Amino acid sequence: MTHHDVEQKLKDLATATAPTHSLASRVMERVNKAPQPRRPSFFPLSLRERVGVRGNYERLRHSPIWRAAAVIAIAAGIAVIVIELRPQSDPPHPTPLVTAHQPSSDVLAVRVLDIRRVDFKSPDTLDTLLRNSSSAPSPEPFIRVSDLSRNDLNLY
Amino acid sequence: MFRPIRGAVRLESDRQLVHRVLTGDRQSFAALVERYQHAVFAVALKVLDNRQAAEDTAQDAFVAAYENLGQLSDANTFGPWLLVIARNQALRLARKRPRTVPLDGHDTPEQSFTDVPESDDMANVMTALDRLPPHEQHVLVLRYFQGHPVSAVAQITGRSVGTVTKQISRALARLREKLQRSHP
Repeated sequence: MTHHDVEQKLKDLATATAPTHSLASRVMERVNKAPQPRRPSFFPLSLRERVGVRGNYERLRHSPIWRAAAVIAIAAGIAVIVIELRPQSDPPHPTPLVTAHQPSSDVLAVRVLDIRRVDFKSPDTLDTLLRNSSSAPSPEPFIRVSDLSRNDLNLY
Repeated sequence: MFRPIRGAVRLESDRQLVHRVLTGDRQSFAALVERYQHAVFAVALKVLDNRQAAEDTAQDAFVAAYENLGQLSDANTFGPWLLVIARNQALRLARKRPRTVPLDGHDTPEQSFTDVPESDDMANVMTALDRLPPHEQHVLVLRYFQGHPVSAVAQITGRSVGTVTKQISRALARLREKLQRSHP
């Protein structure tokens, strides 16, 4: 089947399904009797047209945006009431306690930040770093030298 | 934007017509009816398989579209939106309508869709057309059902001639693929 065949099939279909006469006149007769369509406005109350209080109330009642706003307002009210009435006996979630291990005097400590600067390919760098770190203990997080051999140690 | 063709009658786009209808110019709706009556009738005929019922349904679809025009968010999609309304109206009527069976020796007087020669083939084309994405269905309907040249389709849809040419070409390819799949 070629492109041309498909075009021909469409043309045949169009010929077979053509209306015998124009629908426009009869449609327009009905359209002229129908109310004028309007875009739904955000603020449905009419200040220009004289539709009266009842007319404005009806517009408000049938406006989807205002209906949604009413539903949201009711839901928010219910949520506030539920939160206020909730029993206060439950303690709040305990704050997780973070404790830091303090280095003992005879343990070499290496700052994590310093470890990042170590070139592990060079044999002397780590020794130098350990020597410097041991002389000036840092209040920052530390790891033990023995931890350096652990497989699960993740410095980053 | 694209340049209008010199000497050709400038067609108003669907967006312009819809805007005019919404601002109170009811007669602009007649142009939309003329533009889509064939496609709407064809959609209804495919579902109902009866010309009279399809004509009534097409009228109902246009009136429903007019009444709900304010709810159409993108006026450029008026065509596809109208075809959906027509299909829904036809399906609703088809569910309500009792199936008519001709009495022995008494054929139905009017010619229906399935009475047309090679109707199976046409029904397949219509089904394949139904399954195209709305924007492709829209350009094919305007090009082949309403018989508009590509430049007019571009003006009606508010797209460039190049875009419409590509869309028609892609839609034909997709249609061919669907038809070959249904009839290998």
